[in-house]
Amino acid sequence: MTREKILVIDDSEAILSLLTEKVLPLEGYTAITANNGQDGLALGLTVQPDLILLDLDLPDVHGLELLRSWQAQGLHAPVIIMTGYGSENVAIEALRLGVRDYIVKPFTTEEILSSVARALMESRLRRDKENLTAALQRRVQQLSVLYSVSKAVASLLDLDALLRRIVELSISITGAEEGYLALREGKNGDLYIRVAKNLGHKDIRRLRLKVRDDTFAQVLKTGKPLRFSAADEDSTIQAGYMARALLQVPIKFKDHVIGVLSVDNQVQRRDFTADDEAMLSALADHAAIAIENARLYEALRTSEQQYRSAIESAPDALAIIGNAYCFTFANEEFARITGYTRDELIGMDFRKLIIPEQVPTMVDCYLRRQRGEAVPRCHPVTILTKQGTHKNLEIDATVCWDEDGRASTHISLRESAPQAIPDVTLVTACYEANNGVCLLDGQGCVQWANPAMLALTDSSPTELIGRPLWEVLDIAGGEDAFTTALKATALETSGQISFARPGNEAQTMQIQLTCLSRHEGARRFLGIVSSAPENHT
Amino acid sequence: MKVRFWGVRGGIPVPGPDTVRVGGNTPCVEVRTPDGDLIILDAGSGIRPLGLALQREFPKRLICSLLISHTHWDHIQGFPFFAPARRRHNRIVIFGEKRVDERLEQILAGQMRAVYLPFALKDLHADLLIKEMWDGETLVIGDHTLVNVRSLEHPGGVFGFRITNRGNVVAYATDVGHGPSGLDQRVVDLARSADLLIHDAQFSVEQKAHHWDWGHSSWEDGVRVAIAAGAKRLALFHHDVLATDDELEELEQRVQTVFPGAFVAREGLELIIPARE
Repeated sequence: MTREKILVIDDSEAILSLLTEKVLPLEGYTAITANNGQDGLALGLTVQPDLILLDLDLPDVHGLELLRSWQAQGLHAPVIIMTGYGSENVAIEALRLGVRDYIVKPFTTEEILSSVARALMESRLRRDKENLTAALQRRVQQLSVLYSVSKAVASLLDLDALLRRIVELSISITGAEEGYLALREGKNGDLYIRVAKNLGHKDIRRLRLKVRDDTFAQVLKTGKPLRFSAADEDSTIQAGYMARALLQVPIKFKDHVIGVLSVDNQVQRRDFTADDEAMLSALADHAAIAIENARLYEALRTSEQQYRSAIESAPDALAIIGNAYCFTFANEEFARITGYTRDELIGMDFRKLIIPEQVPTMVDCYLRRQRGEAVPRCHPVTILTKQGTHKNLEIDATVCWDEDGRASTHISLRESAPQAIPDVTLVTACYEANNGVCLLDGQGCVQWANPAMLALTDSSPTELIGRPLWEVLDIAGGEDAFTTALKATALETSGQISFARPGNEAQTMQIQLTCLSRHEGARRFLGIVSSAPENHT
Repeated sequence: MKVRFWGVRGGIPVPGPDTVRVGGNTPCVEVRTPDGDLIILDAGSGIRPLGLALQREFPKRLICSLLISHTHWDHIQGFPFFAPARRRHNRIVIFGEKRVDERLEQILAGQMRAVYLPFALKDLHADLLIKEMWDGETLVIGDHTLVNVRSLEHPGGVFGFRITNRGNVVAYATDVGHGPSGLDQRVVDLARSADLLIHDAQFSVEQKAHHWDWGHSSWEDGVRVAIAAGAKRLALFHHDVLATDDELEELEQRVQTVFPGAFVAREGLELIIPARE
């Protein structure tokens, strides 16, 4: 607490010396004395005391005159009157003039001190309130600065711009002359100064200087802020650069120190305060998150670029269909195969690219895939090129959902073995055939079945498509036998397997398998079911 | 300053043929300063004749400070009979020790309870202002009169007073003992360069040897303090109830051979202390 100034005005040397040498200093007050009214009047106005102890009976001026003059000149210090007994009328007048207390001789020093303490209480409370209000305003200001700071840094994704911004803000909130930001980089986690704003340099410089500095190293090691002032020792700080006052705080992310934020004063003799430290630490916390965000964003962007360029130059024809039948992406190969330009493809309805006969099946697959139902990835497709020609291809489709639940279908097209792909006439023939005809994927699951096949298995297309054929037909030996037959067929191009007719075990049926594509992962089989031991397609 | 003795005896008032010259009233000393401050030290039975004299001198209004060294009976028993305390326009500021067990006002009222006296403290209509004080405090009596208060050795405690006015000093140390090991330095400090030291001298040297812990002194103690403190005059005070005029006068002669400034305090004796240059 500051020592409160008390002006004592009394013509008695005995009382002056008692109060100013013994009583008041013991209680921590600073006493100023005047032994006559004129001096007292002037001192009251010039030294701005916290309290005045006034003897009414002064040799030159009456104490009441002093009170009137002070009142006229706006002096608000509380006044305690000391006087002899028998001056009640004066007391009333003095109270009118605003004296705080009235002490009549004889009195004890204890009485004086308690009267002084009472009178000062009010001004102490007022001063405390002013101090608290000022402190509160300072805090609110700091909080609003921090709020704007966090908004400013959080929105920056460009790392270099972000680091520059952090250093600018560090300087502006601490009022420092210089600012540096160093980050740990490389395998060894060495500290490199990334951004510096120096005294006299208006611009912020981008650097990549390895830090060889004890104070930086200390902050890095301890993870605690460091605050020095030149007053500690009358020399400049033992840093890699000269400074009179220095403040460094760690930039921490998940308990790891990822860098150091540093400000200093070279010229001013202004030290950094605990408030500065708190503010800079708070900024460093925001900065840490923003720096990590920016780094992640950078990494994400890099990986996306790599991914994109890989897709662009892939030998396969790749495209993405959005959730409204339209292409959202197509690579060069896809454009080459379809005959359209990439620009024409973007936004184009994929149904335009398929021969009309296949549209219902493809749309069915497209919609079911989007609903998350199990649909075979690969199947044959005949596309209609821009030039109006048909191309028999294999399509491999998967579906992805973004975080909002929107589906996009990623497709790749491959040219399949032309001899194995049935042309339209053949497909029509198969469709109308009396024998059960089906298309199987590499695992033996039904991809397509003609009406005769549906009748044979007594199933609807939805029930049949996607199910393994051995299960549908209840083939003896089940999966093992059927898979063995499929493998043999893939090697030999054709094969056959027998089974008992569903619902009539006495009648043996056989299924003639033809491998349509040997391409690993896109293997296809055509199955023709007949009851006769010999069958002709 | 002027000092007048109104009661010089310890214990109990002892009127009679053997105490006519020295006086039989219990302690009361009047001190006046050139500024008109009136200080009364203790309110033994001697305060009664003092009160009568003051009534005559200040028929309209009396303002005085009464300093109570301690509240043993012989130091307060005269107060109910202090006539100025009955007059409405008089102001009497009474200073006494601030005790933790009992308030000074309760003690003063206690000796005036109905079982002891037919009138109570509240029946004294003067403006009685009772102020309690700690050891080490200073009283501001007037513009130029201060009193330092020190706690000294006596069963139940006692205050000694050092009254200063414009360089003159009167020290009052009654009912005070010095113990077997030597002088109480606090008493010496209180009496430092005093114009007059009023000191307890209840005991003979032989009595003191037996009752050193009773909180009283011998004339020898008083002399040793006066010499150690550089006091000019020494009033031997608080005489034993058994001490006769003859014995005390003989004692005075003996003491003066050792310390010429010493004398036996007598009722009615007035001492004028010349102002210092």
